[in-house]
Amino acid sequence: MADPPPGPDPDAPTPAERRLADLLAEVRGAPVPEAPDLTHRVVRNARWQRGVREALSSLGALSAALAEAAATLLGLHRKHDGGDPR
Amino acid sequence: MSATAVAPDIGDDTELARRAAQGDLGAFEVLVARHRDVVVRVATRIVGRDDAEDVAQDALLRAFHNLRGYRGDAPFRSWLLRIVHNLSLNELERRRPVPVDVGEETPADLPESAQPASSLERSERRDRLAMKIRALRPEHRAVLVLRDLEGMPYEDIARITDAPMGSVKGRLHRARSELMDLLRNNTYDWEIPGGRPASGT
Repeated sequence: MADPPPGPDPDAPTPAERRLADLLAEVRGAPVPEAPDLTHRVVRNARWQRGVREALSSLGALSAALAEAAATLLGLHRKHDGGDPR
Repeated sequence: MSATAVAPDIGDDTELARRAAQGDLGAFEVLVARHRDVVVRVATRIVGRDDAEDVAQDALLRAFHNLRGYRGDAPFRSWLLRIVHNLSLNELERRRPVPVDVGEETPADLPESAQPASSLERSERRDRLAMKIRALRPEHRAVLVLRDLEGMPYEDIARITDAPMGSVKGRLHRARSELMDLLRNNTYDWEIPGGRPASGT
């Protein structure tokens, strides 16, 4: 006995899904805005921002070193004051 | 789809990112040239043309400052697009909601030069569809852009959107349904060639 003819594929896209896919394909093929100087601008900004970060980082390190030195001197001074029996 | 950026093939992205993280701006420049187009394209399709370049520039600069956080265990493009995705959604959240007119259009509403078969007509139809895509909820829109317009694998989209694969698929399904509902209001664009307006899902 011959197999019955196959029914509609349940996974097959509906007409609506096919139409949506067609329309989205059109959007996919649309020209994209060009940003020809974006690379140049980004790299230029990255350069100066890195400079500022490094300067701030150095400043922070210097401030920390100064604060540590001041704390050490202050600690020594207090120790000196505390250790003087007179 | 537009041509990808022509960039010199100097090492792979992971190596370039490692060198850029160590301060090699030349390596960073190659990375930017290589991925600039996809960054601008995704930003444009999520936030629209007006703000896309700002979002793209911001994303690329953030990527530069956070390159040490890129471990190379995923494609660089996904890592970069995750920044683009997050900034785009932040931008949309920051904006006041702008009502998008997604009402019905008919050929009679269009200028004579926009009749079927003209390239202008196709261009205008693309613009109308892009407008409808921008009417989708941002999370849905992002997934639809990444999957249906960029053709990215689900795994990459899950990484970019920081969502489980099941959520990505769910959002995509809802995005498509939402878009079909919006399109049904537009019998002109929604017409199936040689037939009636599409119906059913």
